[in-house]
Amino acid sequence: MHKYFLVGKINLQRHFVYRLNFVLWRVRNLVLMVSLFVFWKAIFKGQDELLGYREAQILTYTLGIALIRSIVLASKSADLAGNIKSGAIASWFLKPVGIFKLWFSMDMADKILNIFFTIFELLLVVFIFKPELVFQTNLFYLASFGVLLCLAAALFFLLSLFFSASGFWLTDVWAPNFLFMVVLLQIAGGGFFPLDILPPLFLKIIKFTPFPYMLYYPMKVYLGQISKPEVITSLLISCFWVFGIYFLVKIIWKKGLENYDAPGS
Amino acid sequence: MSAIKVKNLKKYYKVRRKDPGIKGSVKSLFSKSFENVKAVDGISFNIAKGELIGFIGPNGAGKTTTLKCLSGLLYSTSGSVETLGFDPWQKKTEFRRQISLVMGQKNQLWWDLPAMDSFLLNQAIYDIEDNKFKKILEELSSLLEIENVLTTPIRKLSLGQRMKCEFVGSLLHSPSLLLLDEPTIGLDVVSQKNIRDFIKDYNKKYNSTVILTSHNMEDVKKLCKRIIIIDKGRIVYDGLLDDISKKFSQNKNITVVFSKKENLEKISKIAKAKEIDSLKFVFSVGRSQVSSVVSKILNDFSVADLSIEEPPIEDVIRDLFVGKNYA
Repeated sequence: MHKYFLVGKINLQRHFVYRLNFVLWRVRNLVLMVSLFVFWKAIFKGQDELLGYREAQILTYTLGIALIRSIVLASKSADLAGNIKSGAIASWFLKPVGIFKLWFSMDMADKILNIFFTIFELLLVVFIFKPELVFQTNLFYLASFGVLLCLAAALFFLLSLFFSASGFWLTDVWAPNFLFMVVLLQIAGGGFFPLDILPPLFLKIIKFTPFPYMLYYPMKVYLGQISKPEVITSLLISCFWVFGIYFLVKIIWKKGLENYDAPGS
Repeated sequence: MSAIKVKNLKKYYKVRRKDPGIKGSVKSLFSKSFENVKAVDGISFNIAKGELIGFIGPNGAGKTTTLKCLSGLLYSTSGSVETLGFDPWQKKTEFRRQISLVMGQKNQLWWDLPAMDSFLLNQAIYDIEDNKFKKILEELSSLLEIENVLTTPIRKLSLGQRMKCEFVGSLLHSPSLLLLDEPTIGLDVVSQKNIRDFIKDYNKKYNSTVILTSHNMEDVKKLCKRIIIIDKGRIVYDGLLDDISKKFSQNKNITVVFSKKENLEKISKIAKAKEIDSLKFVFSVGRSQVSSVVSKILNDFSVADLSIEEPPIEDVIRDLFVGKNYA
């Protein structure tokens, strides 16, 4: 385990090498968080309830999603496809390390850093705007929220591996990455807005995909806006996707490695 | 005991072809055309444990592809490979602990961080004891004179310094199979010699198997007794380096130093000189004509010195690659 810990530590160090990059990464996060926050504040001006949400609920959703993003998502996973395509990953295949464990440890370092700074930024926003927020006290919802978060992090990691495998076949990996990281994750996953403000048919369809279980459902559970049977269902569906995608990843990576030409040398 | 057994190894790639220009790009969106490239086309060889062999060939001959197959990085199209008694494609941990592939043109260290961070990580990855790690690191870094750059980020180093660090990083775990793809590329002559000396010592000291590809014939000449020449994915020679001239060169070199200035026309009637430097002439003469040419020169001219040699290996191999006459 020591080697994976060290990989995580090295990855942490790398964040501090390019200081401007690091600062801009944080600014981007803060701007996104504040923009959505201000947007919903403006929409709710003079109204108690809109689209099924009270102002406190939608603001909690917006800020909560920022924290969930830092726990569930990780930027290292997004680089994996590029590493495969360029051949940079090849040297790791020759070393006695598990490539998934290696990337997971790099992701963990990324998350720790992201969570730390996101909490700091959230406190800053709360201190400046002093919004009314929802604090969940029901133990069932809190515990389910915790479990869903863990499943969501696992799901994100596995889906990253799944989409990254495109690097084994495609000459340009930007499109599948964009599809996953922006379209499916942020829009279909509820990263920009709660999915239940859209026409009900949309949510009915999208709930059968893995994407809303990464951001949307954990937040809805925290807010206590879905019934207990629905909470159990979302936990079961999350588990199903985690196992299902794990097996898919195993198959697609095996095929990919057989097809791999380790380019660039 | 064989360290490597390769039998009828083939590696074919499908390479996409595209006509130039926008028209070609648009056309390729609708109809893709592929070409089957035979990177390695049915090669077989065995390498004994502790052997140090040179694997040479022109660009695109299939050298790197073969090394990648031996290490398990590339899957073969067909044929079998046994490396250190393992099937390399099973990627067993015990197998990966014992090999190292150094690619002169590829960076394996963390680009943003000092080499020392990558070395410490390798120590953890390969479970190298502290004392052993320190000893090997000291030995390698002093030999390659990189002690003072160990704490400098890799991206700030020169190509030569980077290559030396790559080399150190790949040897910390004392691999019993060392696959070296152009290890001296970009190095100054002193470092090239240091690396060569080190490879030689390492091979002897650890009885490790080393396969070396290099376009630098000095590397091959100084290190390898046996060479394998590959071209267009096929082995065209597998044998002793010393025998290569006998096999492929029809000529011998006669070097003559005349005592005084001689008539050039008269000399050229006996044999055509391929090099002239003042009184020194080098003739490339067919093996069967050597004795008659030598006797004519000795009879007709005043000679200070004369020697008959096999042509330099560089020349033989260059002629071989240019002429493709492997018969």
